[in-house]
Amino acid sequence: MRLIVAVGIIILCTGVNGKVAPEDPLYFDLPIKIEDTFEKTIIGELMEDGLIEPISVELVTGSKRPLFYQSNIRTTVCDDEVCEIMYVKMYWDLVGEYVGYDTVAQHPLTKFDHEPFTGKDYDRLHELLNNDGSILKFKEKSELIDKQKVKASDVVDGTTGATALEIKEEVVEGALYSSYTLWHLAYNGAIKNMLSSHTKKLLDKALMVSLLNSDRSGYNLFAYHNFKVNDYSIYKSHWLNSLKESIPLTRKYILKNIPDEMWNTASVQDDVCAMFNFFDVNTKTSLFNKLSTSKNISSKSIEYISSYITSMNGNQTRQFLDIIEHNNKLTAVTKKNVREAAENTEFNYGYLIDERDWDN
Amino acid sequence: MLMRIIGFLLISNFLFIFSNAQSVLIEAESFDDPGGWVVDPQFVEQMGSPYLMAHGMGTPVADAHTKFQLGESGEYHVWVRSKNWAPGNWEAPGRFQIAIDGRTLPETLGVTPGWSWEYAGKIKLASGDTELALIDLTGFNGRCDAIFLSTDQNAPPRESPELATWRMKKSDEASSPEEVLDFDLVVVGGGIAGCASAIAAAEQGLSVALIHDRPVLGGNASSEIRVHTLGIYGHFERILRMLDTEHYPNGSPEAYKDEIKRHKNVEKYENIHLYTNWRAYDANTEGNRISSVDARHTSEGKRIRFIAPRFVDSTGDGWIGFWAGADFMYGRESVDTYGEAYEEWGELWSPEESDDFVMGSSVLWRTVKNDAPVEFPEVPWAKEVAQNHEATEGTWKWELSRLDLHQIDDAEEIRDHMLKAIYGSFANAKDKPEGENLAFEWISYLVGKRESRRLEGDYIFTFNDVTDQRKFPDSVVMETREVDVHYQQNLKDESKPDFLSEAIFYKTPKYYIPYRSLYSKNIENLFMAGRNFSCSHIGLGGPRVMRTTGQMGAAVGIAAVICEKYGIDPREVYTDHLEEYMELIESQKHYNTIAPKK
Repeated sequence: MRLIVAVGIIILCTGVNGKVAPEDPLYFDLPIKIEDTFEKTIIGELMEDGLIEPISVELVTGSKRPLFYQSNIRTTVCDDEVCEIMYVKMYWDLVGEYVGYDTVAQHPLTKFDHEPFTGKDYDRLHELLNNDGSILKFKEKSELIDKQKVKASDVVDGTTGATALEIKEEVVEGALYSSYTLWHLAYNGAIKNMLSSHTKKLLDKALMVSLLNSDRSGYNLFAYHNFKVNDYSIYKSHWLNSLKESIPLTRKYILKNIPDEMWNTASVQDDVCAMFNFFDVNTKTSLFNKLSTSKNISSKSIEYISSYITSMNGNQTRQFLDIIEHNNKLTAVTKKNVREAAENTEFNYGYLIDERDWDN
Repeated sequence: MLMRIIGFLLISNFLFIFSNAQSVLIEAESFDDPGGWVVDPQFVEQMGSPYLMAHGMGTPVADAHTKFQLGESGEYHVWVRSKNWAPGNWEAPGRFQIAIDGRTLPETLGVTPGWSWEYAGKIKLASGDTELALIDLTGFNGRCDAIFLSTDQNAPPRESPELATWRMKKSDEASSPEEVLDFDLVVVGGGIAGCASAIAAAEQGLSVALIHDRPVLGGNASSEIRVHTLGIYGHFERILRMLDTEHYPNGSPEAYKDEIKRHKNVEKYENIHLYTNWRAYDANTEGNRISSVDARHTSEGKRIRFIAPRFVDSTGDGWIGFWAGADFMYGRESVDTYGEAYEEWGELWSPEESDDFVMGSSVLWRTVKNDAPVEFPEVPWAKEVAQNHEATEGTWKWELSRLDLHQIDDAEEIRDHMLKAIYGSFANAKDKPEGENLAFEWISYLVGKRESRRLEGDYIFTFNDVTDQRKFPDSVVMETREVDVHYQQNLKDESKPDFLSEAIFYKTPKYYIPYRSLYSKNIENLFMAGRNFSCSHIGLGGPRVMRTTGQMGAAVGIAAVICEKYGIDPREVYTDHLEEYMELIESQKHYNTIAPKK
């Protein structure tokens, strides 16, 4: 049975440019509100080896807001001897990440023996296309079939020699070359660059806010990559929220890029350091790195962090002790927290405090 | 605190034992019979010494035994330098005890976080032959660095450098090695690059010392780490076929077969003087030149000073260059440093600002399915890392890089983190009905590193040399392998285990590495071959695999021959003798000695 993955039902157009009747795509992972009509505009074309015609990519907008990109694709799927034509519609979000696909009327997907895809096959294909770390990433077409004896436990360094058996576990059974072709379209670097470049051109305040408010980590990171210096002031509540809620990659990026004049404000440091306990291990280190190079550190910020010493690992403890040793405005609470951490038998790194001759 | 020396003499000639009045220091790695314990010399620079480790994969290993002679009878306090490698609210995983003359001391050891001297208890001992045993209680990587018996109740110093000084004084060790040897070329590091370098130079008549801190050659390709070799042969197919591996699955015991081949081939060269189980610990310099390298036997403690006109740093971590003061790089350069953007991968490929998110280290492992159920202990200390992840083998994706962990300085913590990931993920798999017959077949205890220090040469190889397919007059290495740069999965999805990575590929037809990336820019007589060659972080992504690093080694070995012939430094091979050098490189398909044999 086909699984409709769309969080919200989206209405898409199938005709030429302009407003057209809606229909439901098979798989679509964007939580977009239902609109009566969407508009689409061709933003560019891409021609690569293996395509029988250029891929034309369209931006789909609703209420004049950019929503996603799509493309009706007609491509060949070939094994060593025979080529077939495959029709498929593919969807990407505003930063060029795959979000779904659909079949084209009169052209269901078929396997190499011409049997049509089953519901499970369609599900499997979407699962494969959602996997940006698929083994197909590492493979040339010529490597899909291993003429050598296949080893059941073959594991490789993501580079060469994967066996057909390994690939088989990831692709739609009987549709090896279709799976391969579609995965490389879903993760085509040129398409991704085209789409994110186009979104960058559309970036206005409304879109920026929308990207910042999105649950999609790619949207958040894209927004911060396109921040101008003043944007850290304008969108302070947004980036503070992202520090707490977004992925480690985004957190690290934000911490690296907060403008110095803003960071040197005690209230900003305090807001960030108050979230210390929410941070993953890499963000904690990023924060320590930032504090280590800061001329002035708010004593309140140090105090916030000091209450979590006992949750630090060895190197974090060392780095934090380095920071406070160079800070002569420690509060009584900070001193108490450090002292108590040293005495806490549950804390594995209390000895690191003792080694410092911590003298209150 | 140092003990007062009263006159307790070292008696045994076979042990790495140091004795002073009413005290004796026994280095664990020097035990007569290590039983099931293994010698681990990987972290000497960080914690001070090779140590014994009970790597039993969950089954207690056989006791380690040694004998020594005690000069005076008395009541001795016994201290053991050890570490709880997985501290927390659970019993320490690596617990062990010590027995002296058949009497087991009461304290359980391996229970204190961080390397420290744990008090094992006190015992009355008679002078004369004394027997010491280490009794593993868990099979989960208990570790013992040294045992100190003293009539004084004070513990030895905990931290470097006080500990190192104390150790030297306890051992009455002179400041320089006892033995001094001379060679035409000293190669440090017996991975594929180091071996290739030694062979290439030896074939042309040089007398070569090949120093390696493990019992077997091959580095990451050895049976101890088991990564298969990738890449092409370039000009050096004949040499590299003596050293490389089949394309076995990573972790496969097939690595042994290739290792036997490798040893046979290296050992057939009479002028390669092989020093396995010797770990270099210093490079002595005169101005900007290395005059000698000092190395210590990993279990016996003996030391040798290796003198040569030229040295090859194939240590992987760039230790020789580091000790000699060579310029080096570590970390990811900012995207603008060399213009290495890969637009669609953004920060994951190359950051806007430099950082230390280098490619991580791996620990490979395998399981086997037995005919009957196999018990496996509870491992609560592993679950905080493994969480709910289940696995029955390790692949290249088992990799750790974290901003707070340096790939050299924190290598022991990285290894231990991976051990927790392995034991925990395996335990999760065993909890399933289909897992009850599973047992560990093998877990490496060596860290398989991808990236560490990169010594700076006259040329820094970067991504642009790949994208431009730039050819050089001194192109001595060539490669068709993709640029393959890794990142940790949890950077994009915090719910992913922190010990799994993902790869980014940049495919390319062919690229070249110049000879100028294979010698130091500021240490005049230092070559480098292996992952510590002169490149950017992204530049390393392609040629870090072992046939490519083997090409570097062979190219450097040949360059050393030109240096020897004319009495010159590595740079002058490029400036003054490039034509002859390249001819020699290109003739390597055949065993063709051009330079005069000594």
